Amino acid sequence: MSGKDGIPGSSRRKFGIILGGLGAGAILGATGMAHADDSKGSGSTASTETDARGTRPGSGDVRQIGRSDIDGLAAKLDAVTLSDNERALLVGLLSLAVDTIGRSRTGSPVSPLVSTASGAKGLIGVKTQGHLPSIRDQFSKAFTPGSIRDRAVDEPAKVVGVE
Amino acid sequence: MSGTPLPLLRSPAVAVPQQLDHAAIEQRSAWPTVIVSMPFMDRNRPSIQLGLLKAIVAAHGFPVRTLHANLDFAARLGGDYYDTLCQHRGRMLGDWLFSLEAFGDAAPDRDDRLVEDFADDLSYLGGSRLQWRDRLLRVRHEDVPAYLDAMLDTAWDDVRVVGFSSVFQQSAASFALARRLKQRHPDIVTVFGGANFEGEMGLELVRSVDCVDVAVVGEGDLAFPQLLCALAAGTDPGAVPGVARRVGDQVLATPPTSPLLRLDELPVPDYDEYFARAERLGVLPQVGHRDNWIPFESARGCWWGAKHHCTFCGLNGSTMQFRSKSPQRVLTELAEQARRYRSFRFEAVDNILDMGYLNELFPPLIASSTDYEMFYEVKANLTRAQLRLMAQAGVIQIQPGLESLSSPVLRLMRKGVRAAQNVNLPRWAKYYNIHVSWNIIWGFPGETEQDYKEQADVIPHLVHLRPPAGNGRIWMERFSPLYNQPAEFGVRVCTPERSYRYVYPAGVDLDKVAYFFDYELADALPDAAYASLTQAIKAWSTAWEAAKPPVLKYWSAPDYLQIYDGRYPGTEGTYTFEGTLADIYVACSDRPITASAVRDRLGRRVPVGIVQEAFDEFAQRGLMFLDGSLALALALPAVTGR
Repeated sequence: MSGKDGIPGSSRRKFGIILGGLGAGAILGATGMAHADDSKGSGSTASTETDARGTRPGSGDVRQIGRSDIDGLAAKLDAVTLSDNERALLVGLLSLAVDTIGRSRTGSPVSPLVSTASGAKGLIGVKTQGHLPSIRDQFSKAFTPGSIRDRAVDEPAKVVGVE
Repeated sequence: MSGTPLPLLRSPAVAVPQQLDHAAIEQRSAWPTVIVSMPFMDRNRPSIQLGLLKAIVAAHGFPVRTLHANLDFAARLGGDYYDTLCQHRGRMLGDWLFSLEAFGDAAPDRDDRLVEDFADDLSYLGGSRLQWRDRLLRVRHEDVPAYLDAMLDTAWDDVRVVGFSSVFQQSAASFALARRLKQRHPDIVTVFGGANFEGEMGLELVRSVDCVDVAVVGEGDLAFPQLLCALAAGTDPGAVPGVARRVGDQVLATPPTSPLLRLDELPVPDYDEYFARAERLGVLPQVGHRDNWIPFESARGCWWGAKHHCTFCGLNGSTMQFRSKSPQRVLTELAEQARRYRSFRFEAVDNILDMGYLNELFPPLIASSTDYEMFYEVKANLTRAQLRLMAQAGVIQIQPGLESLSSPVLRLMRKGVRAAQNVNLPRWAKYYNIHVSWNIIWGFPGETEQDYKEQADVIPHLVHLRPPAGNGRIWMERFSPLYNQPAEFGVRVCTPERSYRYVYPAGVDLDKVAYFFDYELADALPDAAYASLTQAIKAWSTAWEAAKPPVLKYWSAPDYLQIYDGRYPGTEGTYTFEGTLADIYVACSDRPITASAVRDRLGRRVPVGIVQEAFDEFAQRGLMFLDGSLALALALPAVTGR
């Protein structure tokens, strides 16, 4: 990473490029980024933009990720100030994800979590367990205050019909 | 359940000599021997050293009796006060109490400066400073001489050899009785042994303490009877391997033979005289059924220490090699001792559990339906299944040597376990109703303040588990790697612990006699670095001892989990998790586990990142313990014993 990576414009450009590769299904690695850069966001095909508008709960247990999801995530990542090492880590992880999705597109899937069926409603299918609220949301609603009563040791279970 | 009967073993194949001829029998019968245990040996259980040596010596044809003289002192002082003196190891208080009688005019500190100079360390004795000071001085100047006089009235006239077993603070009391005995019965041969005579400690004590005729340096199972045989036969006792004696101005010592490997050859310890004396003195009640802990030995040495010697540990000075009795031998020994002493509680004196017993000793114990209760020292990496097995077999108390809740510090001490394992063991021990005795210690070369801040931060989440019984800076012990390799650990100063000077005469080389040492490390943290941890441990103990003890437990069903958090009054509540989060938590319950392993366990339906995020959220609420890549659920199943 160069010293310019801390500049917002620079980071926006790079995350957009990488995530753009998701839409194209390009197999991008660390060395593939320059190629993707040259293609100016090769994933922005008109045919996919309509289908990908917005995210909706997936049917069954597969969530369909569209173009707007990708753009939204790229924009959020662009807004984050990262150190050089953090940026390197994130780029690396995203590149691995792109690689995984790309393999799925080429018929050699490496993860059952991701699918890219042609003609699907979304660009990318991500397998989840039903509707998955965020982890944080689940925790925020998990706690119910209050003490529970200590069960008496000798408290027998009641058997219906027995005096 | 009908039990599998266990055979009784009346006469184990001891290191019994070959058939004795008539002359040898005559010679040995003329050498009555007494083996003595002096204060400050615990009064509540027999000495395994005495019990074992008596059985060995008797098997060699010598008339032998044991004398638990510590019981007489306990009876004189009162049991509780005696126990208080026994339980303290920091300063040489017990040895100091007997030093005037041990060394006479040569004894240091004749004006009792110790009670002033170490006053801050003696407040544990209870009462006001004036009260505990006066009590100590009465013991030193009145009780000790009177006690020794009384012990001298025991029948010694026909005794030829008196053996003293000396560990921890038994040395000065043993010297004191030996000195009086030698004055009244100059022909008696005094033989000293035990941990206080290991290595150069034994050689220096032989050189500098007149009342020591001979010392057994190292294990005495073979050397002590051989020494007696030499004395009886009139041959040179100095030729016996593993003994040291004074000849003129010199100490002559023979190297010991290799440690006894086949422990099955040892006889079953004989504790008859302990119980008879304890009951006669009123130290123990005369009852039909006893609940005393019966010491037994199933292994010697340390299999972990033989591979990676914990840096602070000074046990097993010359006998680290691990050896154990066969499971069958242990079973038969327990059965015999239960019947003989009418107690079903057994305390293993082993330094570490033989892991083979998990397969070969405990299952037959369970099958036999015995009602033993046992104590064992163990390594902290025992699993839930292993603890369940031990509990079913009757293990009710363990000492796992946890020592720290920081993986970096555990690495520095070469413990071979992670902090997450040290949390998991007390979890499942609590679940299976096994009492865990442990401490938190600090002061290791290379540690950082952060290591202790992190421990202090996590302790509030652990208050539903048994707290450490003690905490503090490590002691420098002879035979430990810290002592043996000072340069490697940055030890700049290492001198005998200061109170030795109040016990031993000037002519004794304390560098050679001491077991505990004062020291300075090059990169030692200040005491302030441990203040927050000390405070957290104190709060932990307070919470644990509250009328309503802290609780953290869970109930689980498929895709559903409830955790009740009752660790702190006023903040009690129940967490409810469904689906993936419930599965993640339960997957972390049996033992510490990584996020990727949880992902695999859940059928790879959840990305590792999600698992890790869940770990963090659980940990923020004190429901999980995170240790690097490992996560451990802190709650225990609400339904116990499964």
